[in-house]
Amino acid sequence: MQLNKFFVHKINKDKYALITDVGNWTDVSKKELDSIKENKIEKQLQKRLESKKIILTNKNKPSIQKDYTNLFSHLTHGVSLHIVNPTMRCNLNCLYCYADSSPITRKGFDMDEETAKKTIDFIWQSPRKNFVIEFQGGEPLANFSTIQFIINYVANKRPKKNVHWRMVSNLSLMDETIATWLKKNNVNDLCTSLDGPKKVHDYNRPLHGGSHSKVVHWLSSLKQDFGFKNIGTLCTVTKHSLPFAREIVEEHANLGLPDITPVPVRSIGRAKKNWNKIGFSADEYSIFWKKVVEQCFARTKKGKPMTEQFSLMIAQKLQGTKPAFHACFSKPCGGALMQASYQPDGEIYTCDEGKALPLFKIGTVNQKYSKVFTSPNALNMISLSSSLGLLCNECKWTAYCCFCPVMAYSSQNSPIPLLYNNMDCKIRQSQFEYVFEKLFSKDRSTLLQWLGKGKSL
Amino acid sequence: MSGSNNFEINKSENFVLLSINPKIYSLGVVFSAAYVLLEKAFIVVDGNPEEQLVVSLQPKKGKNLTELANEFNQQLINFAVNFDQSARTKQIREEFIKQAFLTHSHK
Repeated sequence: MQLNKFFVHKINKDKYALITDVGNWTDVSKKELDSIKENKIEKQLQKRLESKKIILTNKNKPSIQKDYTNLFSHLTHGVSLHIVNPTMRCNLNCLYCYADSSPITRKGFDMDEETAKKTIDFIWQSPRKNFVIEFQGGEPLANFSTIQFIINYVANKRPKKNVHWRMVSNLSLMDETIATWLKKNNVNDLCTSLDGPKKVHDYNRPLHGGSHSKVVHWLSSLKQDFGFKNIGTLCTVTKHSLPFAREIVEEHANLGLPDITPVPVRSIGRAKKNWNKIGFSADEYSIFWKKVVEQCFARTKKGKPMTEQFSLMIAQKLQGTKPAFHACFSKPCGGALMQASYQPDGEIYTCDEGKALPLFKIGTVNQKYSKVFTSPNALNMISLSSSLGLLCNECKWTAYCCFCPVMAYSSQNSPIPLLYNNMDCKIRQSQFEYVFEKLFSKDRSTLLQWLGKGKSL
Repeated sequence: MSGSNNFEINKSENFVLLSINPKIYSLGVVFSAAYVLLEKAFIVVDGNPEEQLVVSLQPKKGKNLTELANEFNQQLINFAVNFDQSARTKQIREEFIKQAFLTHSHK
């Protein structure tokens, strides 16, 4: 009998989690843990530890190998998300804009048709038959004609590929003509920002006349009048949001949204310049986040379900080793591996946050696809974001966590961060501990409900 | 240098001098630590790479000399860990890169 490498996390007074470095885990009592340390493991416990892959046997080794394959399978899939930025202009002036977008009246920040064509021709060199093209910016609707050009160009492109269209928009430039055109041309997947009620949203995302009312209007109208099924929302949390956890959840609920994704503001782009005004510590965010989760638990128990997405994502990871399903929550991360971002001038960056920093440029659309994604910068990103140059793989949460070189570089001036000072690291630790605690509390059933019917942990 | 730290402050000329043992911190580690602080200080790396390295830090904008020296020492540890971990995990990182290379360099 051979013990796998595992970490020990104390859940409560008499409950410990044993977690392997690919994320297989089980809970044991203090007595059971002591028996493992003394190598006096009873048969029943031995069986359980084998089934959870804490003990290595010839029987479970193939399954463990499969777990490793799953965890790193995104290395073999190619880029599945191409973020095309038709413009870097925007009509809003969000305090935390990581792209540090340009005012909408300025010239010289739009993708012209020639670059749009080259961008699509570049993407078409991908070996994949299926991928997502997502329009971002700036505000993509500020250059709607280029979006139309791209979609029409793709419609006639050969060989045929299966493109899933997506757009991230502040919705303030949306109108009936645009909504009709998007629906007709299968841009069904829309995402916008909803930072909370008006007093929070409009503070974070100022627009003359208010941006909150536009979002509220179009969230409803796009579904009711134009047949869009679901509009995704992201809630960026700033210092101003912190006292309003309850109100932010209620706003999402009142607008009929099934979930909330409270993303902590990150020190990049305009957010970095405004950090004194909008920034917070990891502890401050964690307190806020837990209030949001508790609020969502409470609503769900009362029969008005609202899912908090980060706790759900962690619970999904705890279910079992799966292939990476989110570019920012895998190791290596998805930068230059699962996604890439294309600027209006044809420059290509590792990811949507990476586009804010010249260090993360990996090429241009004038180069060959293979040259760009095997360039030193692209491969460096993969090596860096594997986090194997840090002490991450000595951390008990290593299987569930990930590392962002873009955030590290932006906030600490180095892609090799001082981990003890790294906000992402501190927030994630707090989140993993919290979800484990909830799994062994009265809120367990709510977490399972969020996971879906028939799911267990 | 005093027993509790590895630096000497020259207040009148506004710089701090650090003494670094090259058997503990390699030249690569020292350069990496220095690079992170380039925005905050003018830096000179000197001395004998076999016996003792000397790093001079002159702050650019009113940075406290002790703070600067402490920050440099923190980065030395940071990059020493990074170099050590990178050496240990070199093979697996190369495997990641090989796989990504294969995936993206299709014909």
